[in-house]
Amino acid sequence: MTDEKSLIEGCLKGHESYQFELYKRYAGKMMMVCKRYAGSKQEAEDFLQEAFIRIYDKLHTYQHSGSLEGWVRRVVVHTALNKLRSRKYYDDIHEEMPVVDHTHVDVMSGFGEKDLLNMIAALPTGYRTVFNMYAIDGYDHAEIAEALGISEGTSRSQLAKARATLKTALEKQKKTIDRAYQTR
Amino acid sequence: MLIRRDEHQIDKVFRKKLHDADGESPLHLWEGVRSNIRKKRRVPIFWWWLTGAAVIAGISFFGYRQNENHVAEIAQEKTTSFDGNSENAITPNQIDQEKLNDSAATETVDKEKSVASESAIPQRSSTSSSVDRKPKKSNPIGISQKKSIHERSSDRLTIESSTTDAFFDEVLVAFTESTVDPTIDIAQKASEQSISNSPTTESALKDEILGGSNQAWGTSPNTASHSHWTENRFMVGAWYSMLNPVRKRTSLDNSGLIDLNRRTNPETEKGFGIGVGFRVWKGLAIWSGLEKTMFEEKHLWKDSVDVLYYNTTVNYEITYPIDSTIPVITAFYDTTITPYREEQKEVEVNKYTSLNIPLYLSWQQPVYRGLFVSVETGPVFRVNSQYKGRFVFAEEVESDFSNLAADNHPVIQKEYIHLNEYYREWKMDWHAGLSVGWMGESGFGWSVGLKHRRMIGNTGSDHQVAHRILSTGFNIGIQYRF
Repeated sequence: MTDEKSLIEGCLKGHESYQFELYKRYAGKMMMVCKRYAGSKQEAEDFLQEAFIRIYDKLHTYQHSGSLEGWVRRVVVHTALNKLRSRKYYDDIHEEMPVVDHTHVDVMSGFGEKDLLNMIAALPTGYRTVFNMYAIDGYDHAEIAEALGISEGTSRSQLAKARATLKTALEKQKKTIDRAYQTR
Repeated sequence: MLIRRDEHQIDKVFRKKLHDADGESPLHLWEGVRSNIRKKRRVPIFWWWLTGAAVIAGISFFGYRQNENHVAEIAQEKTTSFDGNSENAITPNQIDQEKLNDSAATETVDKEKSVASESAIPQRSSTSSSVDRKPKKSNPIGISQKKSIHERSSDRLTIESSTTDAFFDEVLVAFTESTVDPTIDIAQKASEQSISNSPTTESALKDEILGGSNQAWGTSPNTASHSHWTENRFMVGAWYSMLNPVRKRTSLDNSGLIDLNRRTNPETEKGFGIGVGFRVWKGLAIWSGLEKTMFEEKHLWKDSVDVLYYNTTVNYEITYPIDSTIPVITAFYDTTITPYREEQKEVEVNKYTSLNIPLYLSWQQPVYRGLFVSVETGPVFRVNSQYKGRFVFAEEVESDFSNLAADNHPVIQKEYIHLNEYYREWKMDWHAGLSVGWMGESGFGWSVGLKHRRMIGNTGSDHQVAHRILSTGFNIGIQYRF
């Protein structure tokens, strides 16, 4: 397997085999990232394609300070955000007062990736984006606010609502699973 | 993976499952990514090329202008050295003034007179027969040279003069017959004589000034008569090419391009182009223009089915047994088996047309008299179009061993589907050529040579099978330098 350094060098020189190697290495993981941000599979594929074009275009700016995967992930997330922004997907984000979140979830994490992805996909775009950025990709509210052009308060409220919606969905899902086990 | 201290339970569930989730790489998206990268990469190539060509042209033009000035300076220095006194150096402005001023002419004649008085007898030079001959070409470095020649002619009259009665007689005739001041006539004649003896081209002057070893490029005892190599900057030309295209077919899959096969086309790619060129330095020139190329491919698919036709004839024979009145009918079956071969043919027609904008760098090297060799290379920006059409026809033919029944004639059915545009796209080729030619003194020339073109990237990449076309062949061209 090609090491990271020579992989980057090969891509920068425009060698197609290296570019394809990079794609193969990260496309699977990044597709999952795109699926989280997108509302549909088709949209996720669109994000991924655009993101990789951008990755090859901007690879010379990679500073080798962090992992390549982390850099690629950031590019993918930002591409997804840009695409969403260009399509005005944030129309459903409104300035609202922050809601104090007291929800507590007592569910086992026995759900599959697909179940969780479906739950996220069912969220409104604003909730979904903020939740993805905060809960999964590790951005803080200040970064989210800057990236999405909203206030930090809005970001917090969107997150709280997303959590509440997901909690309900998780509990509902768990009940369905439990019932299925009982009937066996 | 970043874990927050205040991490919410729900966040934890999702983060654990989804942060490092890995799925199957969507390899079917690679082709879209790849073609986009290639497009992005191609654009700078064009701009880099264009910038490079512009810089070369700029530098060459600057160098050319510098050279012009340098030659003029050398000519002026030469004038000064002839005078032997730098104070007598004459500037072009002075010359213009002098040319318009009769007094200057008189001054020159006075000088002649003083020369004549100092020397024994003015003598007509050995080339006096060319006194009336006009210079063939205008002086490329202007009046300053003319003036210097004028001065030189005076010196020559002074220094090199020896006795020749004929010239003296002519001077006397001029004195007696001319209604105008005869001294002016003498000066003019002397000047013309000097011009006729003097170098008439920039290169020849340079040669004389700088010495034989520094002979100007493109001039030699055999090529000196062709001032087109050294003086003319612009060229126009037209060419016709016949290339043999080899189509390298490639299949697109997720791992990139896999070569399938090469298909040599029996038909030639014919192209016609017109262009303009600019000689930037010595034999180096930039050419550009417009070219149209076209070739057609026909692919034949055959599919044959052997069919056996059974032709059976029945003959009846009625017999009456001896002991019975009931007739017995016996049937005789005579079967003829006739094999036929039914051929399904399909001819696919692919017509490739391109409108090209070539941008070549060429070097033309004079070799012997007007003969030159030329090499050229550069990109060809092209709009490719492919049209597809097909003939489909079925034919029944008699196989070699069959007996064709009289009523079974071959049946031919034809169907023609018109050519439709399959795709149209921007592409780039790289071109290289080598040719020999002849440049006449009039500036017209011709050349014949070899040409090779190679497509950068693939054509028809959006389809299942992509193509890369390489063409090699002959090229004939004409050009005119001015």
